[in-house]
Amino acid sequence: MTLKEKKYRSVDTLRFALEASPFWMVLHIILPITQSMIQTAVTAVATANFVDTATFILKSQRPYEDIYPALFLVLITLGLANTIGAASGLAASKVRIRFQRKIKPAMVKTLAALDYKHIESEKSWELISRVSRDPVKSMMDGAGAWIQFAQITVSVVSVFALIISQVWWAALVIFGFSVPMFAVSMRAGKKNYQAERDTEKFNRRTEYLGEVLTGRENVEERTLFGYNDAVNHMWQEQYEAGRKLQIRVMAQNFMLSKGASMLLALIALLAALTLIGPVVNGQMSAGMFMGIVSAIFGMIQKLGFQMAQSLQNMTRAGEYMKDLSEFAALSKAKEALTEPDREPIQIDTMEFRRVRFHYPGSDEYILDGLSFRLEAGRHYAFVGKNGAGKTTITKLLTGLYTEYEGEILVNGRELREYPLSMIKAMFSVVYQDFAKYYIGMRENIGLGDVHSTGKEREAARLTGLDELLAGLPDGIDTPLGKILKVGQDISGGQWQRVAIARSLVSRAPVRILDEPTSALDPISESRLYHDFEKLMEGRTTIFVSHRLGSTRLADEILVIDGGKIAERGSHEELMAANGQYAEMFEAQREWYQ
Amino acid sequence: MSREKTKYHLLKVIVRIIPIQIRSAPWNCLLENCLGVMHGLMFALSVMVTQRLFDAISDGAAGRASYRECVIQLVLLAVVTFGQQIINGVQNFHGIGVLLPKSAGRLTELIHRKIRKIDPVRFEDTAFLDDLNKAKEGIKAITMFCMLIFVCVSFYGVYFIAVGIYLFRLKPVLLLTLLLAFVPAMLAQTIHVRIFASLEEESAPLRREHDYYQKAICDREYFKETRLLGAFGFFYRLFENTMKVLTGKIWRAERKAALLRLLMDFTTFAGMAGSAYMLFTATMSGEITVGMFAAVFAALTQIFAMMQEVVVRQMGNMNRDVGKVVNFIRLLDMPERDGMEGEIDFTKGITAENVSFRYPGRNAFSVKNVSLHIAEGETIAIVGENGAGKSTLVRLLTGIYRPTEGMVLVGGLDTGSYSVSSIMRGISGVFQRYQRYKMTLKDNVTISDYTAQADSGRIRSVLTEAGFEKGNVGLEDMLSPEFDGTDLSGGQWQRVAIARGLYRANGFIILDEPTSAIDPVEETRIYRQFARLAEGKCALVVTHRIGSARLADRIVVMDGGRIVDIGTHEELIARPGQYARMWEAQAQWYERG
Repeated sequence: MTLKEKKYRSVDTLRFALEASPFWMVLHIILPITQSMIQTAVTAVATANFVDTATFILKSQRPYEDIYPALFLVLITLGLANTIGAASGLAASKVRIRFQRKIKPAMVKTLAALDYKHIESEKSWELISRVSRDPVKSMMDGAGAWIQFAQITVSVVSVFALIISQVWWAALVIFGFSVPMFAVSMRAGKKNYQAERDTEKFNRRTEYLGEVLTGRENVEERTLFGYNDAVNHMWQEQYEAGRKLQIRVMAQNFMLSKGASMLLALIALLAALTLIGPVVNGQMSAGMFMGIVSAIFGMIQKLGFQMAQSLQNMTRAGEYMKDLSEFAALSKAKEALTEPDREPIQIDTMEFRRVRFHYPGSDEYILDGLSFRLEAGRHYAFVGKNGAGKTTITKLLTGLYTEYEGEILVNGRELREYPLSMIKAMFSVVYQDFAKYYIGMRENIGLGDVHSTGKEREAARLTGLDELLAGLPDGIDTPLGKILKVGQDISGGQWQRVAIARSLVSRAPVRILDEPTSALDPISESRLYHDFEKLMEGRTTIFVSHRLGSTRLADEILVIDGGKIAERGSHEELMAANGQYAEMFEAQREWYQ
Repeated sequence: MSREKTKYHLLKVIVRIIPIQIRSAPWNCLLENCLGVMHGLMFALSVMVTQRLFDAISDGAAGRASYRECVIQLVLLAVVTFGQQIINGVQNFHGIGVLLPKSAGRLTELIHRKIRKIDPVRFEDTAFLDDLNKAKEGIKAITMFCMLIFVCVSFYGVYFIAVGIYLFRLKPVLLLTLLLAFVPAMLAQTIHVRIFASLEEESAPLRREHDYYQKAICDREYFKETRLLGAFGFFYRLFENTMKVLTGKIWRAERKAALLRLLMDFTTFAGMAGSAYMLFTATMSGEITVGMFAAVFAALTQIFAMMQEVVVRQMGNMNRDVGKVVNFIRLLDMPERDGMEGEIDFTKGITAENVSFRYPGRNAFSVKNVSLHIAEGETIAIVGENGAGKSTLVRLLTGIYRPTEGMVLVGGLDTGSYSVSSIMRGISGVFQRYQRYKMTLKDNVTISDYTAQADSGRIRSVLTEAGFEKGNVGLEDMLSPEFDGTDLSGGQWQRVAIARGLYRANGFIILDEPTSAIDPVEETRIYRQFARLAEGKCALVVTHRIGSARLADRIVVMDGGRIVDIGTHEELIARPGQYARMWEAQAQWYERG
């Protein structure tokens, strides 16, 4: 199963489910419909038959034995009506499981292949989270709503058919007044979503204030400042305002949905009224009247509720499918799911030429005419203020964002022309917000090179993890993090070393290190700096850091400011130039004098 | 701390929460029950009215009753039906739309008030945070739970009693019907709970694993790294495998449940058939009329359905919710922190005597045997590696935490025996985890001292002092894009936090330096600011950057929860100790020749 770029509608939930599991889905449709037919029309006929037979017997117009087939029929109907539910429940769960096995992988594959910009953009990420939260439930609910709707329709139609077979003109009369009422009540059953959204705003606000009052993050300020009462007061105000709004919305919804049920009740009563005449005139038997009236009244007890529910779920499924269509239409990165090439290409130069870039959804150019050229085999340090665009450069270079102006050339060829598998093989990155994979330590490090294994232990040693390894129950095979029961929590600094080790096993010719020592203590940081030259031997490195001590590792320093290269040169050159770099370096150095 | 979890029995839970619920909205609870009784009566009444209509109809068919008499009975039925619909609507609306949100509001405030009295140290205990979250989920659950109890007693109870009386009067043995309906429903519920409880137990760890692998591909924190590493295949295989095992387990459980349900359905059917047979013999022997037969037979389905509803759905929901309810009660039962009131006198400084501290749930001491005196007007800096116990010591010296052993005197008051509010009255601070309140700029500053008269001149002056650059942000502007306001940069937020610390009148101030990456120039600015703020007061500065400690009168060096050295910068740098080592580790990278 794959998600196509098309407009999905609420009814497509049925199609998806049918595609996932045709046999069980057909059962899942047919069984409930049969059940509702049995519960209404068939029960009505059986009851009628029994009552009429019994009446005749009591009047001694028929022999007593005649009652047994009638009784048998009544009991069989009852039995069927009661037991089909279990079978259809089983079919439903089979469909759900098959569906999950197909839709979830499809979803994961689509999501994993998206252009990276969608992941960082608040708007599309919201869409993505909405769609991927529980696709199986959302779509099964949608399909279920359609089935429920079919059930309702079948019960209504079958009872109606029964009436036609008895007194055709009464059926016409009932039809005449019930169709418009039915239509009105269906419309009334629809919920008002806009009003619901308005109350959302208050909910979010009270939720936030509640977090301020009970959250962990601010326990120090809360205790020290003692603002509980004041904030609780704010909370109360917001909550009450939201509650009052909500009451109004709910009252409206209830009036509408109850109005719908009342209309249905009215239909039932009018139908009964219409049928009294024929009974008194002898056109219809008393038993048939009882059967039909029981069926109708039994139906309306549930109908109002079920109809509202089914319409609501259909609308919800419609909204979900709209989201799904939008999700499926998001642009994808080619070869996003591939592994890096087995053999990385040799890199001679990397060059930015007048690159301008702004994040989607923002007009501000974070890179604004940035040009520089890096040579293979050298170590570069990128420094600059917060928000100067250092991390952005690494994202562009590794092909995460492709919508930039200007050129990024690797070996003189535009980066966008390289297949992603080749780019993946070129770079190894230790991100500022590196990933903590909750898998075994060995795999965690080994992911740095998916094509071969065996270098993990050495990498762990080089990053100073051997002491930790000795203390872990299963050494390097110990699962990290708390996903598995036997998993071990390790500290932030240790995680950062794992991330560095991951980069060490990589065969990529270029290594990018974005604040790689932020979680390390001064002594470990210093040790890493000492070993840097040895660890990075023969590679090109790009080191991004605020700690300017690290620039001693670099052959050349690039100072980024205002989206451009503000200064470039060796430490000595830049200090002599007495510009931004010198100012920053002095600011830090003075602490150590 | 051992997590001794008191067991709460269902009955005890009910006895505990009913008064809490009733106190939260007494009149609404009463109304809810009255509506329930009326609704139940109406339901039962409709069975009787239907029977009278059917009797009239069978008389009508036999020519013994006129058209008019039949219509009168129908009108009666109409009145009951509409009445029932209306009450049902009002009850639903009142329960969900009025009672639930009203009680939820009151119960949330109960939690807010409780949290205020809970020892802040508990917030470092993940088990407590778990409990707290669960307790919050319990808020709605309590009202839902009580409403279920109400509905079971007032609606279902009244309905079954009324129907029981009716059946008894028709024919005493028919009372058995209720029992026949109850037993299979109860059995089905018990078995269902068993199967799915064991499924949940088995599959929960597996599901966690499965969900995690999906996260490792799709979640924001992993996305770019997984893509660039080419690790999609690795995680996808794990994702698929766990899904197969998981869905296999679910299917086996569902199949078992369905088979058992089928069995129960047969039992239910047997019950209904038995009841129908009793009706049948009563009818054939002329004890009841055919009208009664038809009405009761139709009601039979309803009675069985209601029984299923009360036992399977309502009790199922209760079972589901009782855990959440218990969590709420458990929170209310947690020990509170209280103490005497007293006046603080900062001329006495701050003293720690042999203080040791252990976080709840941990074996090792985070602070061990610390003695320290901060004289009036003295600034102390605390340095040490990550995890050396710096932040914990600060929390002890400010009375946020109470020592496990030893004693802390803040301005002459023992933090172990005086109330939080007494001790905090003269303390202010800027914490590492300073808060970015999604409130107005004004509230963001004045939140540190709501008891003070908010005077905008003073707010402006502390903002200026903190170096906040207003730009076009006004005091009443909301500082949150989420709530239709503006956002500030990280640096500006930091300044707001400093202004907040300044705004609160204090004789003792805490300055805990942020660890997040900030650029060197900004970093230096913050240190200088801290130094200015500390002038003339008792002050504690926590720093991660060794060099900045020089600003203090004395420096406390911590390692492994102990104070390993105290002295001025010059003294410490002169002797070979940890301070000198850390200093050297960082300083060497700033020495360039």
